[in-house]
Amino acid sequence: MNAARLSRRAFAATALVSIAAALAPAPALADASAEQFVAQRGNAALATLADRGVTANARQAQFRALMLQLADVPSISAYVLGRNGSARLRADPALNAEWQAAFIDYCVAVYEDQLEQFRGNEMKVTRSTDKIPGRDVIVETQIVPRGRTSPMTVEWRVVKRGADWKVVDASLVIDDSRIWLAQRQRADFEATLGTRADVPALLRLIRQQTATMRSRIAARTGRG
Amino acid sequence: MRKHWLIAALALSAGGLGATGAAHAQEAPPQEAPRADPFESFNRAMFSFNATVDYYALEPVAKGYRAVTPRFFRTGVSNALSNLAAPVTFANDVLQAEPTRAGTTLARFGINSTVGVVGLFDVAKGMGLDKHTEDFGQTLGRWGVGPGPYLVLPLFGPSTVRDGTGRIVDIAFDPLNYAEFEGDDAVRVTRTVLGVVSAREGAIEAIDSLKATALDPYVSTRSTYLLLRESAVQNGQTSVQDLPDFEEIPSASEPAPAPAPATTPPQGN
Repeated sequence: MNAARLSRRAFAATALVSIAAALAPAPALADASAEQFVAQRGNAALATLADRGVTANARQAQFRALMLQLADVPSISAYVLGRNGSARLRADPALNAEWQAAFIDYCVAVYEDQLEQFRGNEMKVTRSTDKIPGRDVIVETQIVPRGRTSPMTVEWRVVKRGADWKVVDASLVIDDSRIWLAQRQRADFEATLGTRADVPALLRLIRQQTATMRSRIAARTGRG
Repeated sequence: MRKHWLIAALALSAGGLGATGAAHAQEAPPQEAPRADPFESFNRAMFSFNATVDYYALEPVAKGYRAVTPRFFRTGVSNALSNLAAPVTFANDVLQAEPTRAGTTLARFGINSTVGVVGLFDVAKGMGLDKHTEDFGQTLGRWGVGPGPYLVLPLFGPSTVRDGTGRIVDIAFDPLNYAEFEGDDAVRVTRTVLGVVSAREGAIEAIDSLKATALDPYVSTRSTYLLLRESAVQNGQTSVQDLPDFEEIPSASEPAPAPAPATTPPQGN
């Protein structure tokens, strides 16, 4: 009798927990639109690199257009120069225009070169975290590099620019450490700029580096 | 362990390609004042030395190791090496007063050493016990000790005064360094050699990427090391609220926005 009563209670408790679990709202996504933006645009960029049905020049142009839609290049290009370098840009609009154009070329070459290891693979969004709800969100994704079996975690920091989301930084998670790439780029550029904030000297360096990377990509993709 | 080797391997890559390099104040956010690298001349010399060793010895050996061994073999070696580093991680988990992480390390070590066949298989990961690594440099960081000047050590690669000191203490935490058994010296040498080769093999792509994209590999290695170590001291748990702001900048190729219309009509006479 007691055993039967206990069993009924256990059944009732289990049923209640199950119903409560079923009725409880699913964990809300921090920002579904930011996640969708990263998944769609990021995978579109990877798909472009994998597209061997177009010429190399067409692929490069398409990838560049996608990068400009995906990332807030003007903001990133100012941020990576640090305080002194970006002050120099604000004081010299011609230098600013020159720097932005060169930095875009550099970024496109770096990512075209480096994303090769993910070509043809899909990036999956795993979660997102708000910095400022609806305006500044960190979207976590996982992607398996070619030739490997375990995924690597890449986080994308996206901010609202007008009605659109734009990427301003990305981090790589290695074990339980992470490195934000724009922050690292800023540390590198600040060191190269020195205390004189010699942006023209840095411009020459990144143009040289861009040309080197372009040759490397051309050699790999069979473009002369 | 693998992360530490990865960073060490980064320093063994590429040459110090001239370029400028002034520095950055450690522990400060990257958008703050430049870091200090008072030993830069020495560090660049060590970086070049390490790069030469890498070019003539480590890189060819690592690429050969990848060419002649199957992936499952290399994964097993890497797992076993990580497992051997568990006592060091455990000691530092305890010193950092992290009982949950210490428990995870202990459980991983027990499971992987037995069910995982002396650590060759990471069975514990499948049970939800993810790997993490700790060293005494991180412990000192958790205790509030700053990293001190950046330092490139011959053969060991990038470090700081704090992390270099921590490395010495970690030797004492590793029972394999003083355990006596038959063939103990051979085991220690084998572990060291395999550790270097396995780490360099795992870092082939990262180092190639650094060589391909960095304006100055010395500076990029330094930035990467210091930022990763800052993050490691926090166990990667820095708040998103601490991320820097990105000022909205109009594109230089876009026309400047038209001035806003006046909100008050001109006053007539």
